[in-house]
Parts: sequence; structure tokens; C-alpha cells
Amino acid sequence: MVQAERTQEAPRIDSWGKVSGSATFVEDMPELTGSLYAAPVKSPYAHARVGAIDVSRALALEGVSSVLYRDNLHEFGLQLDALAPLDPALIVGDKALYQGDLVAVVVASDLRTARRAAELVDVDYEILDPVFSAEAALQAGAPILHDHRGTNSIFDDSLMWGDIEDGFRQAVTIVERNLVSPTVFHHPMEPVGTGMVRFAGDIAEIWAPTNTPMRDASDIAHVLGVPADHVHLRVPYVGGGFGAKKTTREMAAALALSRKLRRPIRVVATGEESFHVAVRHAMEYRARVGVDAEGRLVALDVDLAVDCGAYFTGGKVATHNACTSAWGPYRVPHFRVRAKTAFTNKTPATPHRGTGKTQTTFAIECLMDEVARTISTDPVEFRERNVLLPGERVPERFTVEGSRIAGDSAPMTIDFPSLMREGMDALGPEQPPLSPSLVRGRGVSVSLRNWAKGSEESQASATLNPDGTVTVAHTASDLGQGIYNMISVVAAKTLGLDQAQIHVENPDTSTMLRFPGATAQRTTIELGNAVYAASTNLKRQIIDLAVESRGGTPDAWIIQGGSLWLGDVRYSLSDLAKEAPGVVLSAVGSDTEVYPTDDAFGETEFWTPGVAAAEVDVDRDTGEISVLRYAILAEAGKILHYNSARGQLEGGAVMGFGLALFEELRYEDGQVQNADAFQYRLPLMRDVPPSFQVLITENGDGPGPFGAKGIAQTSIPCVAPAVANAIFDAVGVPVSSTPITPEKVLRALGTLTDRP
Amino acid sequence: MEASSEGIATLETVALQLTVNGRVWSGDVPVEEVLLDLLRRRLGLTGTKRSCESQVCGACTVLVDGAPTSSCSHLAFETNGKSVTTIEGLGSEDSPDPIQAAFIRHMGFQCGYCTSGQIMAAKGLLLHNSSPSQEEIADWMSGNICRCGCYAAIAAAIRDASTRTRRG
Ligand code: FES
Ligand code: FES
Repeated sequence: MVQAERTQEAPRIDSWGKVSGSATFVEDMPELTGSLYAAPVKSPYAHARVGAIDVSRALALEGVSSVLYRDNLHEFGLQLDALAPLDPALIVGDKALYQGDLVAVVVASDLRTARRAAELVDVDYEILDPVFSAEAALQAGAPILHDHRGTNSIFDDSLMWGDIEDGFRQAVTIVERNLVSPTVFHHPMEPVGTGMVRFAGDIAEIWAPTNTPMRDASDIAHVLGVPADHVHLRVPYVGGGFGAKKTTREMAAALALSRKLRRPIRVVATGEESFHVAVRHAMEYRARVGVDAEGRLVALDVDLAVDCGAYFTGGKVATHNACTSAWGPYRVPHFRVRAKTAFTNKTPATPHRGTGKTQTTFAIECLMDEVARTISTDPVEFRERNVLLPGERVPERFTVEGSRIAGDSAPMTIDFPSLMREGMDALGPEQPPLSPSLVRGRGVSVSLRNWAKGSEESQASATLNPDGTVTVAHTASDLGQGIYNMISVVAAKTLGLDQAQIHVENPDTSTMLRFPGATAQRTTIELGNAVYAASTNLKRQIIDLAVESRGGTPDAWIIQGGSLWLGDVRYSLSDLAKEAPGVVLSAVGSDTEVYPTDDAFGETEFWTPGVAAAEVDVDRDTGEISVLRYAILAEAGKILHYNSARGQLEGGAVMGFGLALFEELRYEDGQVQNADAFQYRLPLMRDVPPSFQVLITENGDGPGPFGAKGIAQTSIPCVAPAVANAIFDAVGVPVSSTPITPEKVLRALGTLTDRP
Repeated sequence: MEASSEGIATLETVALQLTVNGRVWSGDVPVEEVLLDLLRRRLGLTGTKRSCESQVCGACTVLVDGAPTSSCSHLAFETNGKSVTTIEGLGSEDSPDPIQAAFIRHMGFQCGYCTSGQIMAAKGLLLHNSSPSQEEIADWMSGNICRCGCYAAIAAAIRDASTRTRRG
């Protein structure tokens, strides 16, 4: 294992734009001539039948152009059945299913007027009982959200191997636990849902911060009833996403209004509205785990309840990922997980950094500590005994109905025991706390993520410009990860040019270049491979042209240090480009040229580990928790840009501190209680532990360009369990849900109880 | 006002004169207009960002007479006669402000949405305390949220900028 060195590297290509305020986010774009402003009307209730809607007072206000709502929706020429049946309809019909459900969109000459008009839309609501947890939603007699379905259950998923009953027969110790991860909000700093739309002839133009531009453009084309290449979605700089950024219903409604009114429309979302666009799936993980007399895991049986909110926007991925990660990285001979996914009257859940796995990693890692302590074994030693070791394989996998899950798993490549030891060593020698009311503890956690090349393709194009520079086009939004810089590094390195010679375009769906979205830590690998392929193809064309105009054989030419070389003679790329006017050298590259598409998605091609060690102080009197030391360990394959890799790992961990200690959207008394910046506590600079280390290794074995892997989601899942286990170590009792608040610690200690 | 009409009351305006990034600006602005809108919409200075609009996140931080101020929650007319510095008033690409250069060296940003506010808050800190300790940095900067979680790099950038500035 080679420890990554922080080498001399060029600053990220977006550096100056971002430190000077000149990087353009969608709200910074200049006004389009004749632009109108949109404002939403949102349901104030979590569950309500919608009676009459009266828009006359809104329309009477000077400056108001139009309102789109249930009763005039048919006038907009939309293909509404193109929307998936369990996704939100474009606009609420006869029922509002969550607080913030979109009832109408008003457009007016300016934002103030549009917002005032939105207040003047009169809606008759009949308030219904809401349901706020998957478990409750699945009980008989629960309020039903989607009436025609007659149930809140959406789908079940499962995974198993071995024989669970047989496994428990071998167990001498059995531990049962219920671990809960609540609803949280991604909270990117740029509000969710701001954008601009316009029709130019019959072309729909959208400027929106989204991490899935190609998918959004195709969905919008379906709804508008236009060909896919008639939707040109452009993505400026995006102010963070973490799974929340997409083209919203408000923007789709604005497009419908824009087509009708023939005017551009600007949608301005607020920070507060953003809380009602997307959240993370809440999950409840009920487990029974058995160990034999030697302290080896023999059986793990998990029931998962997944809360997907009011609509099915997030799809099956969170539940599926929760199933495939519910066993952690352990050698469990007999395993079963059964997951139920249900609708509740909460904001629709979408992927959230480490979708599904963050919740299960909290659960399995707390469970492992509890088992270890039950059998009086050190938690690190317990993990060493039970974790999969390099070369071991996951058994053949089945659903509970017995169908075999396609694909074999790659053998384990990760040496977890040594990563855990390194993590614990990084905390340094143990010292006593500074005050008698404080108790100190340490905890470790591990996580495992697989990567499999899915059936979707990624593409990029590389074009030689007359001035000898190269432009790379693609449709992968950079939400802050440093994707454009990654593209620049890979293209420069592959072509033999300097990074200054590479221009990276912003995503534009009119290029029709494919990309599934900057999700699931796939971008470095899949887009990176596409850029590598495009650059390799362009390089071949450049050399062919050089051979044609200057002679020599293709093998004799090289591109190095930004120039073409034939032996000792140097030629500039711009001269070559100028000498062949009319010849355009341009190549599209696909990741499938580097790595074949796997139609039977499910095969694990490689593993990325997450390992963390934490040291905390807990005040036994107040329950207050301070994380003193924290170490993150990651395996990156090959680092393409050290600071970007470090930034992703640190950033994931900081978000993890929020999940561990503060973040929860609380739903009580029919309402969400804390959906605003004042009450939703986010991690701040003073929450970063005084000792905060990132240790990255490079095995060089990743499937991405130059051996790189994706690492963006490896640090976040480890935080809550590492901190929870450190607290357990300090106070001697476990806490079984996040966020771990001082109140929960005191309750666990038994020093805080409800008065009778 | 709302009871008497369904319309929107015409806004009262006030005459205002202030200095923005060293240049004098004067004009009439509605009394309820916040400094953020004056900067972004009237002056086109879009480097200052809008996020929570409730004085929590610090994305909209500018300096008013050298003091970090949440421009989303500060009425424009309150800056009458004062001097406002925004991110656009710091360095240029060829000659960046030391704090901008330090943010680049340490990559104290990812998405960049909070960055203008972070840099202006840091600038305000260094104007007020040229060699802050780690705790002083963390306390001062805890009014500026970075959801990308760049805090360690931001703190390192501030320490670095303060050392270099002191060395001259
Ligand atoms: S936008 Fe001003 S403090 Fe958040
Ligand atoms: S860099 Fe994204 S919020 Fe700070």
C-alpha cells in the first residue's frame, strides 16, 4: 500500500472564478429580455384534500400574467401521462400529499408581484390525518396517500444467502437491536429550484443547476411532447447538490407557461422553500445477529423500513443500496434482509450522498460494537475476526423468493484490519480528559462500497481548435467535486498537452453526449474513461494529420509538453490546425471503449472502503459531546488531484458530523417543525475536531483513468457509527438513533427521564 | 396596507449615497431594499451570494466600514455614507488579495457558493486581528456555513494568509 503524497499540483481550474465571485451560478446570469418571474403556491398542510381553487384575486393584481394550476392544466398542451405514475404530477390535483406540494405557479412582471399574487390564490383545503413514518404508514388503518393504490406500500426488496434458521441454531449469543436514521435535508447552499427558461422558436431552453441534465432534458421533452433534441438544458456552476439538485416541477411548469406566453421566465427559489423539494430517506433497521462460541458471526437477519416521502421520485436505489450494504463488509455465512418501502406525508426523498448505505452503515457498525461488548471482546479485534479479508468472496446472492442475483462479486481487495489499526494509531496515545465530569472514548467504523459498470454509457468529445487548444464537451455537472478539473487533468495527460491548452465546457444537453448523472461516485471512473477515450481518439487524428502533412510514420510522432514532436523537431498544434483549414479534428469517446457495458447490472467490479476512527469527550452531567480527534482512511486507486480528493473526503466527513450530532427534520403535530436555517442545525467550523486527519492510499488498481476510483461517498457513512461507538465506549451505554443529542445521551444514561 | 388593497403598496424610496469598492454610488432605493439586492441587482455585483436570507449562513457577507455584515439582512439605506467592500473589490487574477491566494493554495472551496462570504468574513477577521489563533478563527468563521465542508482548508488558508501578511 502506498500512501498518497501531496505532490505539487496545479490549482483547480475553477479556482480564480470561485475566489473572485466571478464563477457564474444560475442566479448570477443576466436577465433575458422580457423576462417574467414565477412564484409557487405550496400546500401548507402535510395531507389535505384540495377543493376549489380560486385564482381571480391573483389574476386581478396588476402585473400578473398567468397562473398554471389544476383547473387550466389542460390548456398547456402537455403530455401528462409521460410522468411516471408514482412521481408527483406536474401540479397537485385533488390531494396535497406533503407540506410544500405544488398547487399552482404564478407568473408576473417582477418577483415581488409574483410572490404577492401567489398569496392571493385561494385554495380550499380539507385537512386529513398525516402519517410520518414508514412503519406507521404500513400499519392497517393508516391514512392512505395515493388513494387508488389502497396501500402505502410501494415495493419490497430483499437479499439473502445461506440458511438463516440454520445460522441462528449455531449461535450461542444473540443480540437484537433497532437502529434509526431520520429524515434529513441535503441543504446545498445554493437554493434548490432556481433556474431560467425560454422558448427560442420551438426549442426549449433551460438554465438549471441539476446533477442529471440528460435525464431531466429527456423527461421534460416527454412532458412537453417535443423531440429530445428540442430541449437544450445548460448547467452553469452549481452551488452544491448532494442529491438534491434536479430540474424541479416549478421549472417544468414555468416552461409550460413560457411556451404559452412566449416570454422567458425566471424561477427564484428561497433557502426555506428548498427544504420542501428533496430530503433523505429515513430508515429503520431492525436486526437480530448471532455469534458462535468463538465470537464469529453466524447469522444476521434484518428488517428494513424505508420512508420515501410522498412520491417515488427517488426510485428504488436507496432501498436497494440499503439491502446490498446491510451486512457491512463482514463474513456472515447466513444472511437475510427484507426491506419494505412506504409512502409518508413528508417531502419526497431523493438520493443523498451515499444513498441507503449511510443509514445501514450507522446500523451495522453500532450493532457490531454492541455484539463485541456483549461477548467482552474489543470492537477492533471483533472486526478483525469477522471482516472479509483480501481474496475472500461474498457468497452467491439470492432474493428471498429464491431468484439468484446476477453477477459474481469480485474478491475482496481491501485489507480492513490494517486500515483500522492505522486509523486507531492516527488518534495518537490516549490521554485522560481535562475535567472530572468528562469521560473519554474511542470508536472505529468501516464501510464498503462496490462499483459496477451499469448499463448506461458515458460520453465526451474532444475537438482541436484553430489556436491549437482542445475543447472538451460533456454533460456532467460539477456540483463542487472538481469534475471539470478532473476532465482537464485526464485530457491534458492523455493528449500530452498542458492543462492551459484544455478548455472544459459546461454541460449542454444539445450536444446529446450521454451521461447518467454525477451520482454514485461514478464520475471519475465513467466520465474519466470517456474523456480518456475521446482524447486518445483525437490524438490519433492529430498524428494522422501530422503524418499526412509532414511525413514520417504514426509511431514516430509524439505529443509531449504541449507540442508535436518528430524526433527532435518540434511543431505547434496551432500550425498544424492552421495548415489544414476546413479540416475539423474532433472525436467522441465512450467509457464503453475502455470498460464494457454490463447489461446484467449487479456485478461488482471493485470495492472502495471507508474507515474512520474517532475520539470523543462526553460530559456526564450535560450530555454534551465533543469530537476531539477524527481520522479518515480511504483507498483512491490513483489520485488525479490530491486537493479535490481530500476535499471530498473531508467534506463528506463534515456532513457526517452533521448527521451524527445535529441533523433531523422533525415531523410532529401534523407539521415539519424545523424546516428553516434557524432551526435546522448544520455543521460549522467550530464543529470540526481539533485533530482531523485524512489518510489516502493509492493501490493503482481502479477501473478509471490511470487506475483511479471514486471515493466521494466513502467518508460520510463512517462518521455517525464511529462517533456513536466512541460515545458508547465513553459512557458505557449505546444510543440507537441519529442525531446523537445530549438529551439522548442523558436518557441512555438514565439521568434524564420524563416526569410521570 | 394589505387590508385596504389587494395590490402592492408603492414603496417609499430614500436617497442614498455610499462607496462600493472605492467608487461612490448614489441613487434612490426603496426603504425596504436590502443591501444584497442593491449590490446584486442595481450594481450587478453578483459575486455576493443569496442563500438563507435570514442572517444565518453568511453567504451574503460583505464588509461595511471593514466589519463583516450579512447583506441579506441589512437594509440598503443603513449604509448611507458608509463604505462597502464586496468580493469584487479584492484582488485581480494577476494580483490576488493574500486571502484569495491562500484560498487557492489550500483549495478552501468546492462548489464555491459560500466562498465569497467566507473570504469577506476572513478578510474582516484579519483586518481586526492579524494573527488569530485556531480557536479565534473557528469562532469568528462559525457564522459562515460551508455545506461542502471545506472548513479545515478554509482555516488553513486563513492561518497561512495571516502568517504571510505578518511576514510582509
Ligand atoms: S444569505 Fe445572508 S446570511 Fe444567509
Ligand atoms: S464551497 Fe460549497 S458551500 Fe462552501
